[in-house]
Amino acid sequence: MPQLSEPYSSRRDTITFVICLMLAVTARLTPVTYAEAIARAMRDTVLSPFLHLQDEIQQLRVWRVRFEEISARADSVSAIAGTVQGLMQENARLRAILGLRARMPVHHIAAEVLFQTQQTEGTIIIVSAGERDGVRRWAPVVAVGGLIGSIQTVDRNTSVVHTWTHPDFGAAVTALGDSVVGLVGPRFGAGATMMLELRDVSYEGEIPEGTPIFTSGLGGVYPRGIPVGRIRGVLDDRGGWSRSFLVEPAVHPAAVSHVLVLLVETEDLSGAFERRQ
Amino acid sequence: MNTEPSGFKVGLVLLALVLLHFTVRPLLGNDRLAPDFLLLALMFFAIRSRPSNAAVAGFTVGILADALSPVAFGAGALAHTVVGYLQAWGKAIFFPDNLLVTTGFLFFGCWLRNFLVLLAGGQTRGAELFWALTAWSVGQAVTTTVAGLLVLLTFRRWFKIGIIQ
Repeated sequence: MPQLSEPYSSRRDTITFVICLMLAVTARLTPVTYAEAIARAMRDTVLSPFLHLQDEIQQLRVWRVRFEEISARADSVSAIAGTVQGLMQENARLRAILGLRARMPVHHIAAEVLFQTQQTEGTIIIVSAGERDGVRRWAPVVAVGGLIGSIQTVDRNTSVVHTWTHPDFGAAVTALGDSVVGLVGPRFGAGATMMLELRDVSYEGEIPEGTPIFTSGLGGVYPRGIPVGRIRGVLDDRGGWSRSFLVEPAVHPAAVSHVLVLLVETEDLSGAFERRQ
Repeated sequence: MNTEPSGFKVGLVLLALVLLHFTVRPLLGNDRLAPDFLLLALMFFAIRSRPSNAAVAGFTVGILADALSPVAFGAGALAHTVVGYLQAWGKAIFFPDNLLVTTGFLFFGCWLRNFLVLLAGGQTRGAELFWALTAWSVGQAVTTTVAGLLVLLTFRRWFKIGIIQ
Protein backbone atom coordinates (compact mmCIF):
# COMPACT_ATOMS: atom_id res chain seq x y z
CA MET A 1 0.00 0.00 0.00
CA PRO A 2 1.22 3.55 -0.62
CA GLN A 3 2.83 5.35 2.28
CA LEU A 4 2.20 8.96 3.13
CA SER A 5 4.81 11.33 1.82
CA GLU A 6 5.01 12.83 5.29
CA PRO A 7 5.30 10.80 8.49
CA TYR A 8 2.03 11.23 10.35
CA SER A 9 -0.39 13.91 9.31
CA SER A 10 -0.27 17.49 8.14
CA ARG A 11 -2.00 20.52 9.59
CA ARG A 12 -4.60 20.21 6.86
CA ASP A 13 -5.37 16.67 8.01
CA THR A 14 -5.73 17.80 11.61
CA ILE A 15 -7.98 20.73 10.72
CA THR A 16 -10.18 18.54 8.53
CA PHE A 17 -10.43 15.97 11.30
CA VAL A 18 -11.42 18.62 13.85
CA ILE A 19 -14.06 20.05 11.48
CA CYS A 20 -15.53 16.58 10.95
CA LEU A 21 -15.55 15.99 14.70
CA MET A 22 -17.32 19.28 15.30
CA LEU A 23 -19.91 18.46 12.67
CA ALA A 24 -20.48 15.07 14.28
CA VAL A 25 -20.84 16.60 17.74
CA THR A 26 -23.23 19.19 16.31
CA ALA A 27 -25.28 16.39 14.78
CA ARG A 28 -25.29 14.58 18.11
CA LEU A 29 -26.49 17.70 19.93
CA THR A 30 -29.14 18.53 17.34
CA PRO A 31 -32.65 18.42 18.83
CA VAL A 32 -34.45 15.17 18.10
CA THR A 33 -37.03 16.83 15.84
CA TYR A 34 -34.38 18.26 13.53
CA ALA A 35 -32.24 15.12 13.70
CA GLU A 36 -35.18 12.99 12.62
CA ALA A 37 -35.93 15.40 9.80
CA ILE A 38 -32.34 15.19 8.58
CA ALA A 39 -32.31 11.41 8.89
CA ARG A 40 -35.61 11.19 7.03
CA ALA A 41 -34.30 13.41 4.25
CA MET A 42 -31.24 11.18 3.85
CA ARG A 43 -33.37 8.02 3.85
CA ASP A 44 -35.62 9.53 1.18
CA THR A 45 -32.74 10.64 -1.04
CA VAL A 46 -29.23 9.22 -0.92
CA LEU A 47 -30.14 6.08 1.03
CA SER A 48 -33.37 5.41 -0.83
CA PRO A 49 -31.81 3.07 -3.46
CA PHE A 50 -30.04 1.09 -0.75
CA LEU A 51 -33.19 0.78 1.35
CA HIS A 52 -35.11 -0.24 -1.73
CA LEU A 53 -32.44 -2.85 -2.47
CA GLN A 54 -32.63 -4.07 1.10
CA ASP A 55 -36.41 -4.28 0.92
CA GLU A 56 -36.13 -6.31 -2.28
CA ILE A 57 -33.69 -8.66 -0.57
CA GLN A 58 -36.12 -9.11 2.30
CA GLN A 59 -38.85 -9.88 -0.24
CA LEU A 60 -36.57 -12.37 -1.95
CA ARG A 61 -35.93 -13.95 1.41
CA VAL A 62 -39.66 -14.44 1.97
CA TRP A 63 -40.12 -15.76 -1.55
CA ARG A 64 -37.20 -18.10 -1.06
CA VAL A 65 -38.78 -19.39 2.13
CA ARG A 66 -42.06 -20.03 0.34
CA PHE A 67 -40.34 -21.63 -2.64
CA GLU A 68 -38.30 -23.91 -0.42
CA GLU A 69 -41.40 -24.81 1.50
CA ILE A 70 -43.05 -26.00 -1.70
CA SER A 71 -39.90 -27.84 -2.70
CA ALA A 72 -39.64 -29.40 0.70
CA ARG A 73 -43.18 -30.72 0.48
CA ALA A 74 -42.12 -32.67 -2.55
CA ASP A 75 -39.37 -34.33 -0.57
CA SER A 76 -39.83 -37.00 1.99
CA VAL A 77 -41.25 -36.17 5.42
CA SER A 78 -38.03 -37.14 7.09
CA ALA A 79 -36.05 -34.74 4.96
CA ILE A 80 -38.46 -31.96 5.89
CA ALA A 81 -38.15 -32.74 9.57
CA GLY A 82 -34.39 -32.80 9.40
CA THR A 83 -33.57 -29.75 7.35
CA VAL A 84 -36.28 -27.14 7.28
CA GLN A 85 -37.06 -26.52 10.89
CA GLY A 86 -36.04 -22.89 10.49
CA LEU A 87 -38.22 -22.54 7.44
CA MET A 88 -41.15 -24.02 9.27
CA GLN A 89 -40.69 -21.51 12.07
CA GLU A 90 -40.60 -18.68 9.58
CA ASN A 91 -43.67 -20.10 7.91
CA ALA A 92 -45.42 -20.33 11.25
CA ARG A 93 -44.68 -16.68 11.91
CA LEU A 94 -46.04 -15.68 8.51
CA ARG A 95 -49.16 -17.76 9.06
CA ALA A 96 -49.64 -16.20 12.46
CA ILE A 97 -49.40 -12.67 11.08
CA LEU A 98 -51.85 -13.62 8.32
CA GLY A 99 -54.24 -14.96 10.94
CA LEU A 100 -53.96 -11.76 12.94
CA ARG A 101 -54.64 -9.73 9.80
CA ALA A 102 -57.80 -11.71 9.19
CA ARG A 103 -59.03 -11.12 12.74
CA MET A 104 -58.06 -7.47 12.92
CA PRO A 105 -61.30 -5.47 12.71
CA VAL A 106 -59.67 -2.16 11.80
CA HIS A 107 -57.83 -0.78 8.82
CA HIS A 108 -54.14 -1.68 9.00
CA ILE A 109 -50.95 -2.07 6.97
CA ALA A 110 -48.67 -5.11 7.10
CA ALA A 111 -44.97 -4.26 7.14
CA GLU A 112 -41.62 -5.97 7.39
CA VAL A 113 -39.05 -5.07 10.00
CA LEU A 114 -35.89 -3.81 8.29
CA PHE A 115 -32.53 -4.57 9.82
CA GLN A 116 -30.39 -1.91 11.46
CA THR A 117 -26.76 -1.26 10.77
CA GLN A 118 -25.41 -0.25 14.14
CA GLN A 119 -25.36 -1.64 17.65
CA THR A 120 -28.45 0.18 18.76
CA GLU A 121 -30.23 -0.59 21.97
CA GLY A 122 -33.33 -2.16 20.50
CA THR A 123 -35.41 0.87 21.36
CA ILE A 124 -36.45 1.49 17.79
CA ILE A 125 -37.18 -0.54 14.69
CA ILE A 126 -37.65 0.56 11.11
CA VAL A 127 -40.55 -0.91 9.17
CA SER A 128 -41.20 -1.05 5.44
CA ALA A 129 -44.38 1.03 5.40
CA GLY A 130 -44.48 4.78 5.14
CA GLU A 131 -46.37 7.82 4.06
CA ARG A 132 -47.39 6.33 0.73
CA ASP A 133 -49.10 3.48 2.60
CA GLY A 134 -51.09 5.87 4.74
CA VAL A 135 -49.00 5.49 7.88
CA ARG A 136 -49.18 8.45 10.25
CA ARG A 137 -47.29 9.45 13.38
CA TRP A 138 -48.38 7.78 16.63
CA ALA A 139 -50.04 4.92 14.74
CA PRO A 140 -49.95 1.81 17.00
CA VAL A 141 -47.75 -1.07 15.87
CA VAL A 142 -48.62 -4.63 16.87
CA ALA A 143 -47.29 -8.12 16.19
CA VAL A 144 -48.89 -11.51 16.58
CA GLY A 145 -48.28 -11.60 20.33
CA GLY A 146 -49.31 -8.06 21.14
CA LEU A 147 -48.10 -4.49 21.38
CA ILE A 148 -44.77 -3.42 19.86
CA GLY A 149 -44.96 0.38 20.09
CA SER A 150 -45.98 3.36 17.98
CA ILE A 151 -44.81 5.15 14.87
CA GLN A 152 -42.49 8.04 15.68
CA THR A 153 -41.30 9.20 12.27
CA VAL A 154 -42.92 8.63 8.91
CA ASP A 155 -40.84 8.61 5.74
CA ARG A 156 -42.07 8.10 2.23
CA ASN A 157 -41.47 4.35 2.18
CA THR A 158 -40.41 3.51 5.73
CA SER A 159 -41.27 4.47 9.29
CA VAL A 160 -39.39 4.56 12.57
CA VAL A 161 -41.13 2.77 15.43
CA HIS A 162 -40.47 3.54 19.08
CA THR A 163 -40.86 0.16 20.74
CA TRP A 164 -41.89 -0.46 24.31
CA THR A 165 -38.20 -0.58 25.28
CA HIS A 166 -37.85 3.12 24.47
CA PRO A 167 -37.57 5.38 27.55
CA ASP A 168 -40.45 7.54 26.29
CA PHE A 169 -42.86 4.61 25.94
CA GLY A 170 -45.98 4.60 28.08
CA ALA A 171 -49.39 2.99 27.72
CA ALA A 172 -52.53 2.99 29.83
CA VAL A 173 -53.42 -0.61 30.64
CA THR A 174 -56.03 -2.67 32.37
CA ALA A 175 -56.19 -6.14 33.90
CA LEU A 176 -58.69 -8.45 35.58
CA GLY A 177 -61.55 -6.96 33.65
CA ASP A 178 -61.29 -3.29 34.46
CA SER A 179 -60.59 -3.69 38.17
CA VAL A 180 -56.89 -2.94 37.73
CA VAL A 181 -55.77 0.12 35.82
CA GLY A 182 -52.35 1.67 35.54
CA LEU A 183 -49.60 2.91 33.32
CA VAL A 184 -47.00 0.57 31.93
CA GLY A 185 -43.52 1.56 30.79
CA PRO A 186 -40.08 0.03 30.28
CA ARG A 187 -38.25 -1.02 33.42
CA PHE A 188 -34.76 0.38 33.91
CA GLY A 189 -31.93 -0.53 36.23
CA ALA A 190 -29.31 -3.26 36.50
CA GLY A 191 -30.54 -6.54 35.10
CA ALA A 192 -33.96 -5.06 34.36
CA THR A 193 -33.77 -4.70 30.62
CA MET A 194 -36.37 -6.18 28.35
CA MET A 195 -39.05 -6.10 31.04
CA LEU A 196 -41.95 -3.75 31.67
CA GLU A 197 -43.17 -2.10 34.83
CA LEU A 198 -46.81 -1.50 35.75
CA ARG A 199 -46.71 1.57 37.97
CA ASP A 200 -48.88 3.20 40.61
CA VAL A 201 -51.62 0.62 40.77
CA SER A 202 -54.11 1.49 43.49
CA TYR A 203 -55.81 -1.91 43.40
CA GLU A 204 -55.69 -3.46 46.87
CA GLY A 205 -56.44 -7.06 46.01
CA GLU A 206 -54.03 -9.69 44.83
CA ILE A 207 -53.04 -9.80 41.19
CA PRO A 208 -52.01 -13.39 40.49
CA GLU A 209 -48.76 -14.00 38.65
CA GLY A 210 -49.46 -14.63 35.01
CA THR A 211 -52.39 -12.25 34.83
CA PRO A 212 -52.49 -10.76 31.33
CA ILE A 213 -52.66 -6.99 30.93
CA PHE A 214 -54.12 -5.18 27.96
CA THR A 215 -54.20 -1.62 26.66
CA SER A 216 -57.18 0.24 28.07
CA GLY A 217 -57.68 2.68 25.22
CA LEU A 218 -57.08 5.72 27.42
CA GLY A 219 -54.81 8.35 25.96
CA GLY A 220 -55.96 7.87 22.41
CA VAL A 221 -52.78 6.30 21.03
CA TYR A 222 -53.37 2.60 21.58
CA PRO A 223 -56.77 1.02 20.97
CA ARG A 224 -58.29 -1.02 23.76
CA GLY A 225 -57.56 -4.73 24.04
CA ILE A 226 -54.01 -5.12 22.73
CA PRO A 227 -52.02 -7.59 24.89
CA VAL A 228 -49.07 -5.89 26.58
CA GLY A 229 -47.70 -8.62 28.83
CA ARG A 230 -48.21 -10.71 31.94
CA ILE A 231 -47.72 -9.91 35.61
CA ARG A 232 -44.55 -11.54 36.96
CA GLY A 233 -44.47 -10.22 40.53
CA VAL A 234 -44.72 -7.23 42.87
CA LEU A 235 -41.91 -4.70 42.58
CA ASP A 236 -42.83 -2.06 45.10
CA ASP A 237 -45.51 -1.60 47.76
CA ARG A 238 -45.75 2.01 48.92
CA GLY A 239 -47.40 1.61 52.27
CA GLY A 240 -50.52 0.13 50.80
CA TRP A 241 -51.27 3.25 48.76
CA SER A 242 -49.99 2.01 45.46
CA ARG A 243 -47.94 -0.79 44.06
CA SER A 244 -45.77 -1.49 41.06
CA PHE A 245 -45.57 -4.79 39.25
CA LEU A 246 -42.98 -6.46 37.05
CA VAL A 247 -44.48 -7.32 33.68
CA GLU A 248 -43.13 -9.80 31.18
CA PRO A 249 -43.78 -8.33 27.72
CA ALA A 250 -46.14 -10.14 25.39
CA VAL A 251 -43.79 -9.80 22.46
CA HIS A 252 -40.18 -8.75 22.11
CA PRO A 253 -39.21 -6.41 19.25
CA ALA A 254 -36.07 -8.43 18.47
CA ALA A 255 -38.17 -11.55 17.80
CA VAL A 256 -40.46 -9.87 15.29
CA SER A 257 -39.99 -9.94 11.52
CA HIS A 258 -43.44 -8.70 10.46
CA VAL A 259 -45.79 -6.20 12.11
CA LEU A 260 -49.13 -4.56 11.55
CA VAL A 261 -49.47 -0.77 11.64
CA LEU A 262 -53.00 0.17 12.75
CA LEU A 263 -54.57 3.09 10.95
CA VAL A 264 -57.43 3.93 13.33
CA GLU A 265 -57.90 6.38 16.15
CA THR A 266 -59.55 4.13 18.72
CA GLU A 267 -61.26 0.77 18.58
CA ASP A 268 -61.70 -2.25 20.80
CA LEU A 269 -59.37 -4.98 19.54
CA SER A 270 -60.08 -7.47 22.30
CA GLY A 271 -61.26 -10.09 19.82
CA ALA A 272 -58.29 -9.86 17.48
CA PHE A 273 -55.70 -11.46 19.74
CA GLU A 274 -55.74 -14.98 21.10
CA ARG A 275 -56.26 -14.85 24.86
CA ARG A 276 -54.26 -17.67 26.35
CA GLN A 277 -54.90 -18.02 30.06
CA MET B 1 1.76 -9.01 -14.47
CA ASN B 2 0.93 -5.57 -13.20
CA THR B 3 1.50 -5.45 -9.45
CA GLU B 4 0.99 -1.72 -8.96
CA PRO B 5 -1.88 -0.86 -6.62
CA SER B 6 -4.96 -0.13 -8.68
CA GLY B 7 -7.23 2.54 -7.27
CA PHE B 8 -9.97 1.64 -9.71
CA LYS B 9 -9.92 -2.04 -8.80
CA VAL B 10 -9.82 -1.30 -5.09
CA GLY B 11 -12.71 1.13 -5.64
CA LEU B 12 -14.69 -1.72 -7.15
CA VAL B 13 -13.99 -3.85 -4.10
CA LEU B 14 -15.15 -1.03 -1.81
CA LEU B 15 -18.33 -0.60 -3.86
CA ALA B 16 -18.93 -4.34 -3.64
CA LEU B 17 -18.56 -4.14 0.15
CA VAL B 18 -21.18 -1.37 0.30
CA LEU B 19 -23.57 -3.49 -1.75
CA LEU B 20 -22.84 -6.53 0.41
CA HIS B 21 -23.79 -4.46 3.44
CA PHE B 22 -27.32 -3.92 2.15
CA THR B 23 -27.84 -7.27 0.44
CA VAL B 24 -25.95 -10.06 2.18
CA ARG B 25 -25.70 -8.70 5.72
CA PRO B 26 -29.45 -8.78 6.43
CA LEU B 27 -29.34 -12.49 5.64
CA LEU B 28 -26.53 -13.25 8.08
CA GLY B 29 -28.66 -13.29 11.22
CA ASN B 30 -27.98 -11.25 14.33
CA ASP B 31 -27.32 -7.59 13.45
CA ARG B 32 -25.02 -7.18 16.41
CA LEU B 33 -22.72 -10.01 15.33
CA ALA B 34 -22.91 -9.84 11.55
CA PRO B 35 -19.82 -8.33 9.88
CA ASP B 36 -20.10 -4.63 9.12
CA PHE B 37 -19.16 -4.37 5.46
CA LEU B 38 -19.69 -0.60 5.41
CA LEU B 39 -17.15 -0.12 8.19
CA LEU B 40 -14.84 -2.54 6.40
CA ALA B 41 -15.01 -0.43 3.24
CA LEU B 42 -14.26 2.67 5.30
CA MET B 43 -11.24 1.06 6.96
CA PHE B 44 -9.84 -0.23 3.67
CA PHE B 45 -10.29 3.26 2.22
CA ALA B 46 -8.68 4.87 5.29
CA ILE B 47 -5.63 2.64 5.21
CA ARG B 48 -5.00 3.79 1.64
CA SER B 49 -5.79 7.48 2.17
CA ARG B 50 -4.64 10.66 3.83
CA PRO B 51 -6.07 11.22 7.33
CA SER B 52 -8.13 14.19 6.13
CA ASN B 53 -9.80 12.17 3.38
CA ALA B 54 -10.35 9.28 5.79
CA ALA B 55 -11.96 11.60 8.35
CA VAL B 56 -14.34 13.02 5.74
CA ALA B 57 -15.18 9.51 4.52
CA GLY B 58 -15.71 8.41 8.11
CA PHE B 59 -18.05 11.30 8.81
CA THR B 60 -20.02 10.56 5.63
CA VAL B 61 -20.35 6.85 6.37
CA GLY B 62 -21.23 7.59 9.99
CA ILE B 63 -23.94 10.13 9.28
CA LEU B 64 -25.52 7.75 6.75
CA ALA B 65 -25.41 4.94 9.32
CA ASP B 66 -27.04 7.32 11.80
CA ALA B 67 -29.84 7.97 9.33
CA LEU B 68 -30.50 4.23 9.18
CA SER B 69 -30.47 3.78 12.97
CA PRO B 70 -31.55 7.12 14.41
CA VAL B 71 -31.35 6.13 18.08
CA ALA B 72 -28.56 8.60 18.78
CA PHE B 73 -28.12 10.75 15.71
CA GLY B 74 -24.50 11.89 15.35
CA ALA B 75 -22.97 9.11 17.45
CA GLY B 76 -22.15 7.06 14.37
CA ALA B 77 -20.69 10.09 12.60
CA LEU B 78 -18.45 10.80 15.58
CA ALA B 79 -17.31 7.19 15.89
CA HIS B 80 -16.65 6.64 12.19
CA THR B 81 -14.77 9.96 11.89
CA VAL B 82 -12.43 8.97 14.72
CA VAL B 83 -11.94 5.45 13.39
CA GLY B 84 -11.29 6.66 9.83
CA TYR B 85 -8.79 9.26 10.97
CA LEU B 86 -6.96 6.90 13.33
CA GLN B 87 -6.75 4.17 10.70
CA ALA B 88 -5.19 6.56 8.19
CA TRP B 89 -2.93 8.09 10.81
CA GLY B 90 -1.88 4.73 12.21
CA LYS B 91 -0.69 3.42 8.88
CA ALA B 92 2.13 5.94 8.93
CA ILE B 93 3.37 4.49 12.23
CA PHE B 94 2.82 0.79 11.63
CA PHE B 95 3.21 -1.34 8.53
CA PRO B 96 -0.09 -1.37 6.67
CA ASP B 97 1.09 -3.87 4.07
CA ASN B 98 1.52 -6.55 6.73
CA LEU B 99 -1.41 -8.92 7.07
CA LEU B 100 -1.07 -9.33 10.83
CA VAL B 101 -0.95 -5.60 11.42
CA THR B 102 -3.91 -5.09 9.13
CA THR B 103 -5.80 -7.75 11.08
CA GLY B 104 -5.18 -5.79 14.26
CA PHE B 105 -6.27 -2.58 12.53
CA LEU B 106 -9.56 -4.13 11.46
CA PHE B 107 -10.34 -5.70 14.83
CA PHE B 108 -9.47 -2.62 16.85
CA GLY B 109 -11.24 -0.29 14.41
CA CYS B 110 -14.51 -2.22 14.62
CA TRP B 111 -14.42 -2.53 18.39
CA LEU B 112 -13.51 1.15 18.80
CA ARG B 113 -16.37 2.16 16.51
CA ASN B 114 -18.86 0.18 18.59
CA PHE B 115 -17.39 1.56 21.82
CA LEU B 116 -17.67 5.16 20.61
CA VAL B 117 -21.20 4.67 19.28
CA LEU B 118 -22.35 3.26 22.61
CA LEU B 119 -20.48 5.93 24.55
CA ALA B 120 -21.72 8.84 22.44
CA GLY B 121 -25.22 7.35 22.32
CA GLY B 122 -25.38 7.48 26.09
CA GLN B 123 -28.40 5.20 26.30
CA THR B 124 -26.65 1.99 27.34
CA ARG B 125 -25.40 1.73 30.89
CA GLY B 126 -24.32 -0.70 33.55
CA ALA B 127 -24.40 -4.41 32.85
CA GLU B 128 -25.94 -3.87 29.44
CA LEU B 129 -23.01 -1.65 28.41
CA PHE B 130 -20.55 -4.19 29.79
CA TRP B 131 -22.04 -7.00 27.73
CA ALA B 132 -22.31 -4.80 24.65
CA LEU B 133 -18.59 -4.00 24.85
CA THR B 134 -17.27 -7.40 25.85
CA ALA B 135 -19.57 -9.77 24.01
CA TRP B 136 -21.42 -8.16 21.12
CA SER B 137 -18.74 -5.66 20.10
CA VAL B 138 -15.94 -8.21 20.33
CA GLY B 139 -18.06 -10.71 18.42
CA GLN B 140 -18.77 -8.25 15.66
CA ALA B 141 -15.10 -7.20 15.58
CA VAL B 142 -14.15 -10.86 15.06
CA THR B 143 -16.66 -11.45 12.26
CA THR B 144 -15.77 -8.15 10.59
CA THR B 145 -12.06 -8.95 10.81
CA VAL B 146 -12.58 -12.41 9.35
CA ALA B 147 -14.62 -10.93 6.50
CA GLY B 148 -11.91 -8.31 5.97
CA LEU B 149 -9.19 -10.95 5.85
CA LEU B 150 -11.15 -12.95 3.30
CA VAL B 151 -11.45 -9.85 1.14
CA LEU B 152 -7.75 -9.04 1.56
CA LEU B 153 -6.63 -12.57 0.77
CA THR B 154 -8.92 -12.74 -2.24
CA PHE B 155 -7.76 -9.40 -3.62
CA ARG B 156 -4.27 -9.42 -2.14
CA ARG B 157 -2.61 -8.41 -5.36
CA TRP B 158 -4.82 -5.34 -5.70
CA PHE B 159 -4.39 -4.32 -2.06
CA LYS B 160 -0.63 -5.09 -2.10
CA ILE B 161 -0.75 -6.97 1.20
CA GLY B 162 2.09 -9.23 2.33
CA ILE B 163 1.56 -12.24 4.62
CA ILE B 164 4.27 -11.55 7.24
CA GLN B 165 7.22 -9.22 6.79
